[in-house]
Amino acid sequence: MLEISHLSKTYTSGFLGNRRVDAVKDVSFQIHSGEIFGLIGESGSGKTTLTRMIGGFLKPSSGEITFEGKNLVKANAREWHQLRQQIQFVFQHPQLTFHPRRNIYFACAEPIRLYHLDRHISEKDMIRHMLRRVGISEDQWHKYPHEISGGQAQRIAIARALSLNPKLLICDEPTSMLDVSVQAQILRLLLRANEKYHVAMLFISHDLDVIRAVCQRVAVMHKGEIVETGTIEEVFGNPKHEYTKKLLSAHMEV
Amino acid sequence: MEKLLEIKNLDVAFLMGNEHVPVLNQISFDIYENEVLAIVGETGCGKSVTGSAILHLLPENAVTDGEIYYKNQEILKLSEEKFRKFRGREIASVPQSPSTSLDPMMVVGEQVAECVTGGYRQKKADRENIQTRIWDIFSHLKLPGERKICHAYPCQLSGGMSQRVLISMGVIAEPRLLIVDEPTKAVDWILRKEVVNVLRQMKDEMECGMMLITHDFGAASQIADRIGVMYCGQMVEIGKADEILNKPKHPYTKGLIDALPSRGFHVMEGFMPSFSELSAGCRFAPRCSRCLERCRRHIPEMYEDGNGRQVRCFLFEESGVAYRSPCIEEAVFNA
Repeated sequence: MLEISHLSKTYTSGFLGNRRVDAVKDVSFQIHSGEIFGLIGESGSGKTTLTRMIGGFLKPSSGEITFEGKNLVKANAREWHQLRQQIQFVFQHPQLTFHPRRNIYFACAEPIRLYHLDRHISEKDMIRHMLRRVGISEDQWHKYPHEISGGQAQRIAIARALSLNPKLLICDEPTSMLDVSVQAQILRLLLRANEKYHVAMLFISHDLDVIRAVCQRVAVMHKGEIVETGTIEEVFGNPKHEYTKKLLSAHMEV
Repeated sequence: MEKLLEIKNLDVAFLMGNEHVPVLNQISFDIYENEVLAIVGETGCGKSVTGSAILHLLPENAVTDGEIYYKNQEILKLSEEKFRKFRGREIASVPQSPSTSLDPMMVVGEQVAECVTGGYRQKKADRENIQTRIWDIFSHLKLPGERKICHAYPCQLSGGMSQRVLISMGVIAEPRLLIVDEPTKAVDWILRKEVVNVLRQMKDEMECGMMLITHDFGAASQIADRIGVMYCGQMVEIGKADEILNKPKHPYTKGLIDALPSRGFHVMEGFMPSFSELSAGCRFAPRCSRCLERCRRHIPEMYEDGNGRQVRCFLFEESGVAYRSPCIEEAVFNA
């Protein structure tokens, strides 16, 4: 469904751009529909740059991104408006993704208004339905982002992303700021969405336990390059690259 | 082993306008010399407040009650002036979020030195003495480019390096007790291992007691001798690390450990209640799968089983007796 081939991003700085940093270097992988694809890598390895290019917030230096046959690199603003409905994001800092001066209800209503989804069912019913799905009761509607906990905010962010029925959900470390018990709740929510609506996911994390519990295939990223790709069993059971081995040896058994 | 720190029935509440919001309720625990006690719990359960209460770093609207003994001396009610002798020298802390805890306008070496000099000008001999000690600690913590790094600004350091600088600020005065707040929060996998190794090495070499505030069970299992689990301002269970991890007794501890990805990933329903709307009974009762009738009305005491294992749950009221079947209990209650 999503195909990334030979994608690179180079940042240049200095006189005539003679200082170059390869943030992402020749990255290729595919995500099939209905699949959860994991991406592991330490901080600064280019994971976020990669997601920003997939989301169209950043122009790649070279390479192709194809989503259902459409070339995302060459898409114009109008095409992106349609594509954004199909590609949605869940970010690391849940509270920072909301407008601080608008309440939860507005945050959830915005995508509905933007895509005119309230043709068959009223906006209020729709929000009630989608927030109930993630366990947020009606008395929370008029709270502001700073009044809710991180776990609640992340669940609302997921509900909001899923309200558009996306085909691909990009989760950029959705649980690294959360506690274990809340983490389990969030991940169950994502797994249910995957089961029920067949949402494909690009799941970025540095927690190998989480990746192992959630994903089917996984890629390991190191210094902007993908050093290893394979199914969970292949990569975790029989790591080939030095870096993957190092990563796995840092595992702390509980 | 000698008791280094003894906390007895510590209560902390915050005054919010005219409201009195209780945060910590009857916290009691000991830290022995050369021991690592990990305090584990969800965000907002009062772990960091406990640490701040020990260090007298609570905000002004806090009301404290109870006793804290450090080497058999009461410290909670000491005046600010007298407590200064303890803070930093005897009891030191490593704050959370390394990126925001360092002064961005000051080189790292100076910041570490300030912990001993207190910002006063020193004699040349003393200055050199401190400088060599800083180099010593930096090389111990395996900070790359030891000597040069003293002249680096915090923005030039990576997350792991600033974490290690903070640790060296904590240990340079050779405290007897170190309070480490969330050292592994939001750091990546390899760095986490590094931080854990540094802390473990410190425990072996410095011979100081450590209170490790965290919600990372992986890290806690590697370093801690004992683990205390907190829920909603109360200590619910405390005991030896491997006993807590492998044979949890309190339903909350059980739920927390089962929610770990490597331990089956079972979801615990519900959320921690906010401190202003607590129910009358056990604070975990609304989420508890083994909740009894009396749990909703009475707050259970800490029950000890003789081996230093304490559990705040009615299921363990008689020490030594394992699980009592809830249905029998209910029948007794109804009769």
